[in-house]
Amino acid sequence: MSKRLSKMGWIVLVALLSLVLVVWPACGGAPTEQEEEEEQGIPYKNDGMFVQMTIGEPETLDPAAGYDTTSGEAVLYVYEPLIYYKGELLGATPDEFTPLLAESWTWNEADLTWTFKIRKGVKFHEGGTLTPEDVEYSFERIMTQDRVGGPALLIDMPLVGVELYEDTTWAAVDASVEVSGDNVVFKVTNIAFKMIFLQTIANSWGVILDKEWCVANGDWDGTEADVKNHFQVEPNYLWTHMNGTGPWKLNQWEQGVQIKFEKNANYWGAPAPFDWVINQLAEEWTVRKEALLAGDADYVAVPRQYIHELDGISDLQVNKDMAGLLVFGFFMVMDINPTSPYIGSGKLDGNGIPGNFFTDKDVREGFREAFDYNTFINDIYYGEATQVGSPVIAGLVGFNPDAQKPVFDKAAAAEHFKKAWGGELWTKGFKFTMLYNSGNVMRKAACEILQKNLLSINSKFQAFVQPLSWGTGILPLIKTKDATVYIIGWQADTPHADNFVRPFMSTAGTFAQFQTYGNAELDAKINAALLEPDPAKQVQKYYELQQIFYDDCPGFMLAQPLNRRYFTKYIHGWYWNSMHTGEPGPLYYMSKSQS
Amino acid sequence: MELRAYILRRLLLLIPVLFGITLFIFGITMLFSPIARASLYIRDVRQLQDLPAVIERYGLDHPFIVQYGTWLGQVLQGNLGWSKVASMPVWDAIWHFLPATLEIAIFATPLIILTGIFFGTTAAAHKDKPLDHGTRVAAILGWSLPSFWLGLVLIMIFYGFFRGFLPPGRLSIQMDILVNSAAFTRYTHINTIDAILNLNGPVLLDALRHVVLPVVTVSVINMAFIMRLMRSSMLEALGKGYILTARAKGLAERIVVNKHARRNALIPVITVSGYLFAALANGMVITETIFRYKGIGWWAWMAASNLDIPSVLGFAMFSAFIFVLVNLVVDILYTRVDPRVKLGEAVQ
Repeated sequence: MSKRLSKMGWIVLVALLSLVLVVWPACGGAPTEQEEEEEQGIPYKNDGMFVQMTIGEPETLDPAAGYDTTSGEAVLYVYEPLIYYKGELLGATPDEFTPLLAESWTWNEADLTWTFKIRKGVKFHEGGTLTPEDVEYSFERIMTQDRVGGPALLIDMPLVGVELYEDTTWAAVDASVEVSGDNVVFKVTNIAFKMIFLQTIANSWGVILDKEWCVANGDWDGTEADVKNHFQVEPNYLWTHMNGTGPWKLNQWEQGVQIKFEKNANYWGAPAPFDWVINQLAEEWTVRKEALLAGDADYVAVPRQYIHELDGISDLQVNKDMAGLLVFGFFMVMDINPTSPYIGSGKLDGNGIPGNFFTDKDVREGFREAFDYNTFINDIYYGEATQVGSPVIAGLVGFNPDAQKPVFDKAAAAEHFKKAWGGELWTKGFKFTMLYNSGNVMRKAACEILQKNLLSINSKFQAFVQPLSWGTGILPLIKTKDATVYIIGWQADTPHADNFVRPFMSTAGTFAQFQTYGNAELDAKINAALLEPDPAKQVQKYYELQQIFYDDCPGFMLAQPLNRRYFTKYIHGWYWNSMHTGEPGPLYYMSKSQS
Repeated sequence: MELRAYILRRLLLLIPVLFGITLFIFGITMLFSPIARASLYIRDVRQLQDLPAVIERYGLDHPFIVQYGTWLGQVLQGNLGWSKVASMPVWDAIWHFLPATLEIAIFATPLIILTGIFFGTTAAAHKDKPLDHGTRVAAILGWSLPSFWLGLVLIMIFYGFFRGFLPPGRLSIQMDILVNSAAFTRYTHINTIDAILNLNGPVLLDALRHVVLPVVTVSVINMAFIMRLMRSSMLEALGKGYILTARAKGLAERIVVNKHARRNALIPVITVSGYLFAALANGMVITETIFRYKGIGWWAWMAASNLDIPSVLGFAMFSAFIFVLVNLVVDILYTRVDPRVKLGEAVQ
């Protein structure tokens, strides 16, 4: 007996010891991280380098193909557009831009043309010299290659009036951009695009390539005959190779690991402030945090749920409450695919919903008023977001600060539901599934808040919440209209209200089309607002559109987040521009030193 | 059977294996609709309208046999396709990501095997004593530890608490710049080996500093299995008649255990060790992700979760090749360890 007890005793003793070793640090037996950090501080490391750790890497290095912010950020280190946003300004007027590869620009109202005088003496990294022909080539290239899902439509719209190259001709593309001596002349299709065009090209899709280098590496040769050989062909040489005029040049892209840029010693402007810019991919938050605190990274991406882990660390500079041109909204699909597996029985019998469930405005308004906006903003964004009533958000010309906003009111929601579907909805109830992209804390929370409130309004209102992968799960379901509702975020391409109104409200809008929302009359109002030459009247037109969105209620806006950026104290010169959407910000104007 | 002929026969078996695996995986991916498979090429809702064009371009709505035949035709011409998640050809992606995985595997495998054999032997030789109990508890703990938890704890301690002592990643920034410069020759892209071949001590030390934590993480979890297997195998060997004879002849216990019992007990461990190396060489997704040691496991996971079918197929073929190769090596080793086993009879 005593021998058996002794064996058992050993096992129990070792197990208990292990448990204590594991649990003790969690009980506060060790000094807190903040206490340790305040003692030791963040060391200064990697002099002359800017190291950032983020959770994404570029999809492509081809400016004509990349539409994601990470690709855009990489492109803007190496390539340059003709102009860029000046400081914190959003390009509301022509002088709110900084000249880059263009020395000056003038507008001709009669011809609807912008003429850019191209800077001389600028060298590409591989040795070529910038010419106006390079500018012409760069814009014609993006329009004719028109990569699937790429940014070409942003250039197409102002210059040829359509979104796809297939809907226009080579002649129209060719005529929209012409070289004239030292200048390049762009002809926009409508005066409404006067400032939109400048705002558009001040971004990664407006950068300038070396035509000779592109052609020498198998890219489009600049002729009409060769267009078909490169139309929507991917990938190409430029996907993984870069040759720009910018302050940095590509050193190495180690896919999945990091991308490194080194200083361009022959840059035409003031020397780059960093000899090296290194973007490292680190999906795990703990790794990023420890790297920031160890001084191995100067900037890291900080998911909102972890911001409090960095509170009180004195060697960090925290920039917060920056309003971005980004909004998230909840949208209801009005003609759900009748075979969708997410609508239960597919009938209004208490065990499902019919495909046209959300065509009843009382249903939509009930959902809108069943959402607790304050709890969502406080719990998910820690109060760092604002509620907006429509897609026209704060920071856009045409934003109405007094626009009607949804209010969380379960009683009002109940009244709408009682009227919906001739009263049947209230007695029968419903069941359906709301999808969100797995891993997305915000979208999950939004669905769960709504789920809970609907159930508390009427116990027969059962909305299930299910995660799915975004790319291979939810996106196809939106396309096939199997998704019943979806939560979408929209980041500005240009700081213009049309860039927000059109996707959400126009019949062919990016999101509205998948909801089957929109009509000809509304489309006409949207176009009229865009084309209104009188700024004051234009603002009024956008005010009206905001009210229409509220009245129609195709969806409701969840929040316009405020942004944060975390740097070590050694980084200086950072500023916020809501059009500089990539992380960390305008590196060329920043610096790093121990002082 | 002659060794050369045996090796050739086994390698030829690879062809039907690859065919079967790729057919199976291709078939599985066909369960996804063309739209779902086309979504690999878009990232945003605003690109949804391009899906029909994507489907048409890549023939995603063609019959299964047509799509498979097209892919197979390209493979036979040496083109494994384009890896969307890696932004490079699949063939290049395999060679791009493999060195990181191999670097961990090269250090972890002998550590796992040797410590597993040592502790398993020790446990068996001290059966039912505190040492045996201790190793068994350690084995249970090690086997039960989630790799992501262990990895994060190690980072918090050795990188966080000890101020960057053992960092994640493969090299420090300065060494990374050096090894990618003209002053350093890349032979294998395995940093430790290349550092030795370049006779560069600082790079070697830096690479070792970075590989320690991933190796420890992988080893702790897998060591337990070898330990337990070795213990069982040793206990069986120690119960055999020839061991009794050896003891009766007055041989020292150390010689009985290490020379007589252990050699026979190693046979199952060799088999498992081979599979262990193959499994490690196929990637350690969680470890690679947590420690920023992006290897083939990370790439395969990204490919699978994004339905990057060419990458998935490429990885499957690579994986099959590794397992066939390892099986072959193990079978040959068998004949060396146990003279009773002949080539061609190893499977029996």
